[in-house]
Amino acid sequence: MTGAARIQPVTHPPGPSRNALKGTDPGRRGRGANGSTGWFGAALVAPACLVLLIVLVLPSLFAFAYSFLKLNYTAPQGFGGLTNWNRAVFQPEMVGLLVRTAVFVAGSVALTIAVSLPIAHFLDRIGNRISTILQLVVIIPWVMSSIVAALLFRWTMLENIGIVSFIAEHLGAGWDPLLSPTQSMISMIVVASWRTAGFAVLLLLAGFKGVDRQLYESARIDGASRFQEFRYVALPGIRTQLIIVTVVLFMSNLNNVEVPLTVTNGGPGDATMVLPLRIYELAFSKFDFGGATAMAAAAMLLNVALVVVYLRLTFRKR
Amino acid sequence: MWTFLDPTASDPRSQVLASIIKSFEADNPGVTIQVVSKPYQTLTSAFLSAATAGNAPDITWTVLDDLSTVVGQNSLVDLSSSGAFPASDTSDFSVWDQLKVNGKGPYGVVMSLNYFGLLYRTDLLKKAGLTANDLSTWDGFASAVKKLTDSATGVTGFGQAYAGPQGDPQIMVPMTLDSQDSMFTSDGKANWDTQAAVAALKYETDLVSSGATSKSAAQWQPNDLYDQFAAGRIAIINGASTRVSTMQGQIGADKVGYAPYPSTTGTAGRMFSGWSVGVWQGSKNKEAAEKFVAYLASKDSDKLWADKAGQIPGRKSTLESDTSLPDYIKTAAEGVAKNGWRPPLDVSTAGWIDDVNEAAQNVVLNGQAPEAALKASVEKFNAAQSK
Repeated sequence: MTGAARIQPVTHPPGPSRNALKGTDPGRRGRGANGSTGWFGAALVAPACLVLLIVLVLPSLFAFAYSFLKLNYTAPQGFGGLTNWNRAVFQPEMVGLLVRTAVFVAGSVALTIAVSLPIAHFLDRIGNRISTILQLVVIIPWVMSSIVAALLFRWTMLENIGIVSFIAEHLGAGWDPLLSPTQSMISMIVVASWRTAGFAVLLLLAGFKGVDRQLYESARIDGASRFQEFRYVALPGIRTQLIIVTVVLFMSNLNNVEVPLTVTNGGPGDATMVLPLRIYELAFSKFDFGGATAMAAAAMLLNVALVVVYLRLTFRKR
Repeated sequence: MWTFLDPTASDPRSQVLASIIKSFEADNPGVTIQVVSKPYQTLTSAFLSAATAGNAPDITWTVLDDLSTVVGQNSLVDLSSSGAFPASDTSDFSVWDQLKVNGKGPYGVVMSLNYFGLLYRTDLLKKAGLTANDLSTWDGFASAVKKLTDSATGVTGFGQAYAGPQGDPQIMVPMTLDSQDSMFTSDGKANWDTQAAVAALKYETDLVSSGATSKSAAQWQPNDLYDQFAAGRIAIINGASTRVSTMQGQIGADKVGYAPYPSTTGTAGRMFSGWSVGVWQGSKNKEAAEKFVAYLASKDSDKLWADKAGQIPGRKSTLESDTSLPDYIKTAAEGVAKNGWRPPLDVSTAGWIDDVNEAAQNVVLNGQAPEAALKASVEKFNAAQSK
């Protein structure tokens, strides 16, 4: 029997129970019952809620409502029913658009996590000083303006100008990152992942830091290899952080317009035309604000629905 | 005022704008011009939103392609009845009636006039034993760019850029206009799936398959062309007259020439573009705003724009009297006055250039036949427009 077969995933100390989160945990009911802590907490979060209401909730609701109005460019001209939706959303082109968006989002999230997980784990296991320096290095792409980052990549990939194309040409690789539909999509995924990997590394590293060191020691005593430590001790310990990273990356890529716009602008042809870029094109190139609003409202619903499904599936497994 | 220029910047156009504002404020005590500089791609949409919200600027710059869109929302003042523009003066403008929409207007004065044509490297042409005269016919042009292409030195003869957003018209547009009056039908629908347009697209994309234009045209945006041109890797590029002075400043005035597109007739329409400076319909300072717009396009200002910022004069009198104008500006100004063509303003034509260029992309990358690519492009444009 191998070591891998004997080792079972570690059960980490549980976080707050679901009842606790709902406020029905008997252990917490006592403090909330007198009301003082509850009101104090509400007062503390109220300013943040107010800001979110003004800058996030209300504009979203307005956008949703606007999608049902007849618009003369940006000026409302009365109720339009589903006209904007029929024109922009319920169209055959949406199928291709959603497929390309799914490929981009899934590819970017998967690549980012695949790259950032081992990096975060490595940073957790090395000395503090080196780890700090490396953390600063990996966060650089995240703090850079995404337009600047995407432009830099575009220049490196341009045929005849870019260093990537130059190297590929001299290696005989025949790689045209922005001329072939498939390679353009890959290029876009790489750029988006490069930009967000630093964020993912930091969040996952925070998770790894919270894993009890004694669990690693126990695993080693049981004969676990480095990979087995990672797979059966570390990974279950960062489940919450992994969920947060996945959700944030998912939404960030689903709404990412800067990278597609700057790197490929949807080309060649329609090969990398994704949902947010199409919304941008409708609004700012074609001035079809009604159609763009309907598509943006649909994208918002898609965002919410997919995140809810993901979270439900994740918590069900727990 | 909203504009893409920044009076605090050091480029010639911004400097001229700053100087005109200073003079106007000195001549009109109590009036202050506050400038908000915005990226040119977002000016129209920002203005449309601001006008709807009731907080737009008194004056805005609108790219000509978007003028009908802005007028369609009733956001600009009709200047025909403005006291700031007497008929005796407006007859001097080379572009005045072209800014009318549905018979009304004009809705602004033209600034930063731009005439598309060919920018060429004089040093590379000379090395190949060619002159600008060799570029005056389509056959001559095709031979010249093939001769200029040299795989040993990595120089390609002709640069094109099909990628957007908001790309430039490529040579199939002037070639098509050699055989038809407009790229649009009389009711504003796309008219670039004609026999002439198919032949023009074939000519344009054959340059790619022959190697005289790099296949990278499919991914290049206009700015990439200027970079390649400045680096001496492309001998001739499809470009805008407003870029000549910048290119000359970058690599030397003696190395950059400007020529009109080849032509079979010599009188066919050639596309111009530019910016319309207009007054917001909801402005509370309409009179002062109209006065400033008129000042911006006055004879003195027009000369300043031409002499100090290398702009095509907007007035016939400037073109006739200003002997110090460089040849390329005279060529472009005469082109606008005699052969100037632009898309109709009575309907929205937003995005038409990107749609035409997408057809070229599909021919070059996906091997589509020019007929099929243009048919799809026309259907796409017309469908979007009818929405």
